[in-house]
Amino acid sequence: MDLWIGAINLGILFAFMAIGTFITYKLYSFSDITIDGTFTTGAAVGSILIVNGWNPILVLPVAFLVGSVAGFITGFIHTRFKIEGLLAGILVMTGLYSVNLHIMGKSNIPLLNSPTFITMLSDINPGMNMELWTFIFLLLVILIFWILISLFLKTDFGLTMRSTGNNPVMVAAQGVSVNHFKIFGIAFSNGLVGISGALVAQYQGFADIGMGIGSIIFSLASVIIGEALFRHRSMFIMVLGVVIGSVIFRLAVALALHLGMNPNDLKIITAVFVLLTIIATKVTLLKHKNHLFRWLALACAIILIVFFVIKISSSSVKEKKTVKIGLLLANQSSLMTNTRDGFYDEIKKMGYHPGENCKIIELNAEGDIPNNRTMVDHLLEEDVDILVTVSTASTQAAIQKVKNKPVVFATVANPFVIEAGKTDSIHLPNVTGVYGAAPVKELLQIFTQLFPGPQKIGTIYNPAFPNTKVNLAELEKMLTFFPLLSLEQVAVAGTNDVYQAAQALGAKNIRAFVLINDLTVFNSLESIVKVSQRQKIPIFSNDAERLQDGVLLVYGYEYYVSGMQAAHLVDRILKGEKPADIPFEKYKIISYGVNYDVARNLEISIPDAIRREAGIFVLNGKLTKPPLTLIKMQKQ
Amino acid sequence: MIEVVELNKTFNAGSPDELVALCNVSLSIREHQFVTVIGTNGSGKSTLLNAMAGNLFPDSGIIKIAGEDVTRKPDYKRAGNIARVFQNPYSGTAPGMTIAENLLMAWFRGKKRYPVFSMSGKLKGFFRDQLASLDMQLENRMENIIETLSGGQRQAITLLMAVLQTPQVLLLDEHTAALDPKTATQVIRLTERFISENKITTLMVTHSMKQALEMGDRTIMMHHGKIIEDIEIKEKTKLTVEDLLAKFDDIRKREKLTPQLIATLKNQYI
Repeated sequence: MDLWIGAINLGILFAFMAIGTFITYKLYSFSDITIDGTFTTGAAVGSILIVNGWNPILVLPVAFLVGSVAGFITGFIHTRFKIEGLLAGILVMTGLYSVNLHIMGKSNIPLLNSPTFITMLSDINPGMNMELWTFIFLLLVILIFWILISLFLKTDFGLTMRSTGNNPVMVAAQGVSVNHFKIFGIAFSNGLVGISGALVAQYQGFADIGMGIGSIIFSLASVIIGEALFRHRSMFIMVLGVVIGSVIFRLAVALALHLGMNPNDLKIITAVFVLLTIIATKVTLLKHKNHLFRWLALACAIILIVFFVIKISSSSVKEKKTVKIGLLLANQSSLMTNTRDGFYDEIKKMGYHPGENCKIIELNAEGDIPNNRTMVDHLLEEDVDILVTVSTASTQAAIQKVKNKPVVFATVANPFVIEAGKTDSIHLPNVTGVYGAAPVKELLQIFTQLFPGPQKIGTIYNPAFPNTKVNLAELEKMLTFFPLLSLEQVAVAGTNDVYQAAQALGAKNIRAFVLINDLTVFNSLESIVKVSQRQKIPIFSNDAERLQDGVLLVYGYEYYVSGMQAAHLVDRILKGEKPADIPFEKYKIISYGVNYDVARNLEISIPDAIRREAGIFVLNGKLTKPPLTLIKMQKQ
Repeated sequence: MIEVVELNKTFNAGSPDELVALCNVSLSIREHQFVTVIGTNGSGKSTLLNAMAGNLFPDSGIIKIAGEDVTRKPDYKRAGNIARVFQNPYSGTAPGMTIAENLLMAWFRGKKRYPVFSMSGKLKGFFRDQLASLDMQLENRMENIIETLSGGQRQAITLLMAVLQTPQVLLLDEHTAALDPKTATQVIRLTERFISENKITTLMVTHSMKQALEMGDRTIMMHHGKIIEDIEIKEKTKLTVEDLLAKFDDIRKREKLTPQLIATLKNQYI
């Protein structure tokens, strides 16, 4: 049930954004892509203020204000410099990414232990299901907002806004500054989007730099669904249509997840849906009044409701048989999939056989952060016995929502920054897991073994990832133990920047690349390897998995092992141990490897001490990885 | 009321498409005067009107309206004093809004709009009376969307919107050119009535010499960005369409227009 009510709640929270899009897209025929950035801005501003002690309700007007400023800029450059609307939006959206990072100070702000409107609601909960109680409250809020916004659009001012979009020539002749009204409309719309962002962040328990991606398309879909279902001129009915459109859209997402559809496909389905609907409205305008299309939309809605009803009725008669494990991954990177593979392999060794005596429901958020939340709801709906979350984002979504089921996390760099606990043994009662800050100091030690004396090292990182920030801070801290080393660092915003970043470091005459764990760098290592080969700069890395791809030396984790350890924790919990009594574990196994091919090419001789200790090596293109020579991590 | 001094406007200056639309045009229009403007295509008559409305700014020269220099004021800032009706009957009204909503927009011409509800029963009654005076049975269709109306009905409403708050200056830009003859006559009759009832200073660009002579108390002929004739009412009453054509014929002789062009002119203007 929670999956569906949760989807409706999300729909209502996103309705503020959809109403914003309704104003720009329907009233002004302006496709405002700014909102992809503004949504995050609202979330960022709201979250940072809450963390600094603000009241969760009072942050909403601030989120509105900051969102409006972003919208104002889009409107201003669009009208003043006659820059095409879409381009103006893209410009501001792109700029907002940096602004958002600055507002947040990091790429992710957890609100787990901070007051949100949800915690405020829970304080006055008369004992209802929390999701249902939230729904009742949100219903009331959106009802009031619906009436207010509809009335506003019916006033003289609102009428002028609508006329401005309808016929700018006419309103200019009536003494209305089209530009001013356009700017106001776009700013107002973005203000609503800001509120939406702040609310969603509070609801899902964190703000993240990537949470706004795709907002415009989702929002357009909501507006279009609403319009298809309610073709009427009345402002009340039009705005109501948008709200219901937003809810239906979120229900459709939940349904797709429920049916096991790949969320990646969901994006193209949404895009095609928006396209087809726009074409349909254009074509049918010329012919008969959209009868066929409305009928189709209605049919879709009915199918949805039927599924809904079937779901409710079936979930009430659910039988309990085997162990159910929910496995949630944040994206498809090998970090995630290696952890997953380790988990599967180990859990099978321990006698759990998926399909026989246990069921593993695996979901993947495909890099879309708000998806994690819906997927957690889905796993709860499936009534899993235990949740296994791989990655920080998935863990964050799970621990925010799940209070009465065990959560086991894996491949999380630092569970303390997301407030999963205070120390290894003092933590949320239902949460435990495997984590590890990368062994940066050891890597530096090995580097000095190879290259003693004063040396300059270079590193590349993407500040948008919370884990990276932790690792970078660790690197900077550990460098204080090595006074002879100096660090050159280059930040990148995506994989496309990495090649240039590596060249920039090469130009600074660094002795080696020392790479911390970073998803962007991991995914674009080839770019660094190219520079490494050309300029004969060796690569030292904490990522053990890419040794054979041109790295000289690795010292770090196999994420596979993280999954293995998580499997053991799951086993302990299923056998009756309480997660509260199981301390967080650091990764137990370290991989230490040398690539002799690279050493030969770069004319670096590897001392015997390293040859003896490094259990993994690449020689003549062949990777040798004896499973039993993984060495134990040494306590410092 | 309107003072135009040495107005110049060149489009695409310096390019092969250069077009001199206004060339040192000076014009003075008294209060309550109704002036018609005729001219060949590209003669600058629409440019002159648009410059007065503030749709475009002249390269040089001064435009004063009611004593105020408005040369550099954008259109929406002039709209308090100036009302406009366009050639395209779709331009003057918001197609997706109702008749009543369009009239309300015009009711606030040149004024600030606030988030309040001004559409009272009393105002609606006033709008209804005004619509009834159009004699087009529109008074019972106040809640209909403009889109459902014909071009003539829309143009009549645009005209009504222009005079709903009596403007100091009314600018009509070939506002019957896109209508069928019967509707055009209807709109012309309304135009004359509104102007004479409210004694509005008016500048009407027209494509019809007949209209130009029959209406208003002064006619201006334009050609190649210049005013070539300025005929006051006394002289006007004696003129015929043939006289006007003869004047264009003079230009032909001066500028060696081909007989084909003259034929087109005749087609266009009679």
